[in-house]
Amino acid sequence: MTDQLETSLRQALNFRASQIPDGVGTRLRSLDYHPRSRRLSTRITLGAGVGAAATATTLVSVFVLGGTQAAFAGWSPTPTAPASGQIATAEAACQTQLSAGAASGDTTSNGTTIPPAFSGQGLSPVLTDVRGPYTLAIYAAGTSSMTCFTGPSFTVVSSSLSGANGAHSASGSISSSGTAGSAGGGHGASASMIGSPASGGTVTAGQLQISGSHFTLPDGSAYTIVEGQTGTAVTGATFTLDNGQQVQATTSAGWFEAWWPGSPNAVSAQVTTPSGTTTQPIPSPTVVPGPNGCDPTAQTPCSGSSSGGPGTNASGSAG
Amino acid sequence: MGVALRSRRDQSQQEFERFVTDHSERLLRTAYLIVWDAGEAEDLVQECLARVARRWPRVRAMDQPVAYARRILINLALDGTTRRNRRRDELALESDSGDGVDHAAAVPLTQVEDAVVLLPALGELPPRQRAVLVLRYFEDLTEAQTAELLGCSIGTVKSTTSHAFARLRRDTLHPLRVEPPVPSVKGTVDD
Repeated sequence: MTDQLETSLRQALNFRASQIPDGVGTRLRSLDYHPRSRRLSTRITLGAGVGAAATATTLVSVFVLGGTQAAFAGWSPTPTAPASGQIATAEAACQTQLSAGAASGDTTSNGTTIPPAFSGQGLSPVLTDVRGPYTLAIYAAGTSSMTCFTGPSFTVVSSSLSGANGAHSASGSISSSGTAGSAGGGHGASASMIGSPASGGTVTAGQLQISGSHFTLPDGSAYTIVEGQTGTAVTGATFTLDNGQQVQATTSAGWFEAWWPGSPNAVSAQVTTPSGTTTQPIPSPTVVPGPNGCDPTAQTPCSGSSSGGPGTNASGSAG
Repeated sequence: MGVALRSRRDQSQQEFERFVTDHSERLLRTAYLIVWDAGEAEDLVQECLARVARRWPRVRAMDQPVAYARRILINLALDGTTRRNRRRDELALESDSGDGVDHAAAVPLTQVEDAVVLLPALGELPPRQRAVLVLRYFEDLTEAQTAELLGCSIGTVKSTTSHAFARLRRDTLHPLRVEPPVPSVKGTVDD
């Protein structure tokens, strides 16, 4: 009798072991388990841009050590409390990347030199969003901002350069290179803008000024960032995506930011003020194909590459 | 000199990556069977491999690095914090399991179906009992190896196995339960 139970038990355990969801094993094999004590020596080259950018999202630098966490494991649709030391670690990584950008004498995709404010000088952190192991920080100087996105094994810095006429465009891809053990080598990423401020100037009390971009990391992991400034009365914002997902933004001191895995667009924003919550639609982005015809809003987003930035542009405000 | 050091370091890292490739899947399955939850198992294996990575220069010199990793994994799976979380999940599972269906009556007595019938009962075992069964009947470790891994005596492994079997027989409402009760043995590691 016991023999029969043992046989059944072996079968049950093997059957159960075969029921592990697909992708878990792949995720485990793709992670970087080594302490991040070594730094890449990053060389940055900005790729070709798209259009005459008055407001441009430009990837300034990408730092990847090993692989990124597939599908951004641990992401949360609501901000989470930072782990001990998480923000300090992220800030250090961002400063390193900003300094690397400054040292490289970067130029934008259309040949313009990146202003000193975007080379790590004069920038101050204004808002930090934490979702599991991921930290998204906005650094601002004047009306322009820079975003630094860090995860367990990567750091991505992008900038938004605002122009005077309120036109919007998107650009940017970069390549960086370095070595990080056997997992090192060349890495690139792409970015495309999905929305930007409707115009420059002050944001009215109950409104958001929204700017968003799609990004794709070298390993194909796509994510989307929305960020911007809020009117003085705004106390909270939650975005509804075109796949139905709701993502709560982090808001503070006149700024907001949120991000999510993949390339779904935000279709509406719930804006909370002391007088209540209103839901406002966000205009669909106008797609401007990149030079290679790549449409980052398509099901399969543009993959990371060392040149040829995809672009879309749109404008919008909510509130 | 610098090149030689870098070369050795790269070789060590490549060995670790090969270790992850070769063993992470098995470790994941073992963790999954013990904690009965895929998300928690993934977390545990991540933590386990991170700890192995930190000690890799020493671990790689061991006869069986995977045995070391398995020990870390078992300790993580059975430690107090995760056990509390797991127990909470198990309580939820138990409360969900009252579907009123007489599973025994509906299942023909073939061996494969016996295995299917066992699964809910396995899921309700205390983690330490399940760990013993997993190590003995999934990892195919001997009683002595299981005892060493769990830091207990062989007698404790035997008694825990007996208690687990008794509970499985009882909970599966299976004809096997007509077997005479298992004698009580001292030194179980039940929760």
